[in-house]
Amino acid sequence: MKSDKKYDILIIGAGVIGCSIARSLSYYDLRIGVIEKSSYVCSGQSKANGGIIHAGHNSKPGTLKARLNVMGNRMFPKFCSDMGVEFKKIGMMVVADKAEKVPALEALKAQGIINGVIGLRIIGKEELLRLEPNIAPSLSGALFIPSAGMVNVHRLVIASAEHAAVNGVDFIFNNRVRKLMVEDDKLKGAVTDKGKFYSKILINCAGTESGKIANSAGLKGYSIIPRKGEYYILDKKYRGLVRRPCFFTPNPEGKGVTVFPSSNGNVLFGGNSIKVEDSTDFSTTKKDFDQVYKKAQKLVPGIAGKEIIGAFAGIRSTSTSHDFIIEAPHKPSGFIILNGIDSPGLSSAPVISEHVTSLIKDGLMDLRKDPNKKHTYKIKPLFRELGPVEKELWIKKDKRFARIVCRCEEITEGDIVSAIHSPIPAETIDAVKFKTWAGAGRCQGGFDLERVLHILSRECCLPPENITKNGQGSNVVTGKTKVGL
Amino acid sequence: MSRTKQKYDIVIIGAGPAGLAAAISAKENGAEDVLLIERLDCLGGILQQCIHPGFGLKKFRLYLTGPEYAKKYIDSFLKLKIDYLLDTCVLEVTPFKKVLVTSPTTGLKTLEAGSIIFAMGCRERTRANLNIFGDRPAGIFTAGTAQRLINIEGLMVGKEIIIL
Ligand SMILES: Cc1cc2nc3c(=O)[nH]c(=O)nc-3n(C[C@H](O)[C@H](O)[C@H](O)COP(=O)(O)OP(=O)(O)OC[C@H]3O[C@@H](n4cnc5c(N)ncnc54)[C@H](O)[C@@H]3O)c2cc1C
Repeated sequence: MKSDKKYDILIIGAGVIGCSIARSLSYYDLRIGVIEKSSYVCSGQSKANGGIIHAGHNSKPGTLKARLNVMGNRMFPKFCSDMGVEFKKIGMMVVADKAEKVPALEALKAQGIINGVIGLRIIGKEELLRLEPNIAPSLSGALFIPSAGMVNVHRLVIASAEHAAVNGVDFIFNNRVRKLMVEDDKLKGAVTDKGKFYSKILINCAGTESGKIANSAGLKGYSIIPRKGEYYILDKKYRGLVRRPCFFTPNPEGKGVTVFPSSNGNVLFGGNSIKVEDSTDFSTTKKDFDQVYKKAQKLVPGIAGKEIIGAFAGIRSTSTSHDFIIEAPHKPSGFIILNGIDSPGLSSAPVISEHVTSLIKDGLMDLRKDPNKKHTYKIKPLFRELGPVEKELWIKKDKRFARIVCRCEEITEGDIVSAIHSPIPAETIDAVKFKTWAGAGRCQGGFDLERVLHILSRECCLPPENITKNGQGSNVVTGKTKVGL
Repeated sequence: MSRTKQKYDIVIIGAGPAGLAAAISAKENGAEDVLLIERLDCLGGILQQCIHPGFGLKKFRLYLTGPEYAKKYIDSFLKLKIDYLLDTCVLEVTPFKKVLVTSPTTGLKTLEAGSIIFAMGCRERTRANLNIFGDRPAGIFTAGTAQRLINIEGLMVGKEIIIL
């Protein structure tokens, strides 16, 4: 086992950043390991955002955020289609609530143009209402940003990780990095819950924990200001309420509350930004909800608080400079740190991974492409995404594609079994949910939980009481009812 | 049971007490071709998980559990030799009364119906529906899900339990 823990490159964190870096590096002749404290990929801030691919109008000119966002946005369509993930270029609206705010839209447009965003256009009330008929009629106008888009972030991160895994990258889940090991100003590896891992290069993309991990290698000044954002999911009967993400003009704390259509056909609202002390506090609160709800209703009056099917919160890992930090320090060498990758980190992921690859090539290690590695990999589609002919074919091959387990989202037993046996096995209730969307619909698992539990137990050869929601300690049931009878 | 025809006078979706009663009364009142479709692999619907007594006081003047009460309906239903499909999910009903179903035995199949009766029961409100805030750990269930896990699957949902 010991030799298994020696890698050329270790990546900490299996969020969108860690997984896309793993994928980019997987084409080379390297031994790569990804260490993740959770039980599945996409468990940090990558899972708790709206999946909005920003255009790049919102960052200050000259910042890394502005540059990488604009480039990432341009790369997104191909980035997704290469992996069989849907990207919808639906654009975005920044709406002015009062006539006085219209100059703010002009300023935002000018900033976008400096950053290199194309197609920006200020539109009046009439056009706004034509494009977004359900927006409050009292609003004055908007900045229309056609290059923004929407992605299913789970599918994207899972596809990147699967591609990396198919190319031989090891994913070590349920394993937290405690501290880094440095010797003679050189990074040696990491001390983890599963022992010591050695590597020539270590890439720290641990999101909210990246500052803490850097500190353990003697690097100062990489701290994080955690900011919470909450989202509320509306029932699918509100589909079409908005056609693209709609924001108010930004305030100093951020882009503010948004109402947007998700890639799965629900409308969501949220995305507030509350400074918190604890970067592991993912609770939703009545106080924050009331504020978010009020703002969202001001934007789209048709939103109904009683028709919310689910809610979640994420913590943004904002750096003290408010910009992305991506660097390879001189001391200790062999270390790449990504700090402050908050919004628009998802939008920038395709270019961040290339940027990190060039950082390695430019001074840390010679990289040689391995001809045996796959350059293309597409994630297996869900049964519901297929056309009628393919559906018949899949059922002919495997009858379990004809059995619906999650009726709200029309997810079949075949989908769930494939997810469990995929290159990154989905072995928890949440992993199955995020891979297939079973349990993410209107009943929120009310009808399908026990069926998913049963399938997981059968396929993983584990008793149901050992199946967890999302890793150690989150067991769904405690045991059998009739023990010892 | 799965040797279904292409066309039925009446298609009933859901084999809970409502669906069973509808099928029985349709048949008794002269409907020729009746089909009952159920998503789960047994008849009876939600009654199967309600193992506490209290059912049937009005109808049978008996103090029955859910499954006992359901059995009375299931027995009369089976006696009438009505067609039914289990483990079958209805995906779509068109305005022209075509019913698209899927199951491992039938595959994807479109049936035609003279009339369609919807008896799919109800759905529990989720915690978010009720605006219950806080964390989202494992071990929070709706009453129905907990009941099904315990009574049907034989799995215990916890050792210390609180009901809101
Ligand atoms: C509310 C909210 C809204 C957002 N909206 C948008 C948006 O609309 N558009 C956009 O582009 N971006 C948005 N973002 C930002 C985007 O989500 C992030 O930039 C992106 O997800 C960062 O990815 P990551 O991989 O760096 O971080 P993460 O996804 O947080 O990944 C870090 C991973 O490291 C793991 N980890 C941490 N510490 C350790 C350790 N010690 N050992 C092992 N593993 C560890 C974590 O479990 C986690 O999986 C939003 C973020 C939030 C929170």
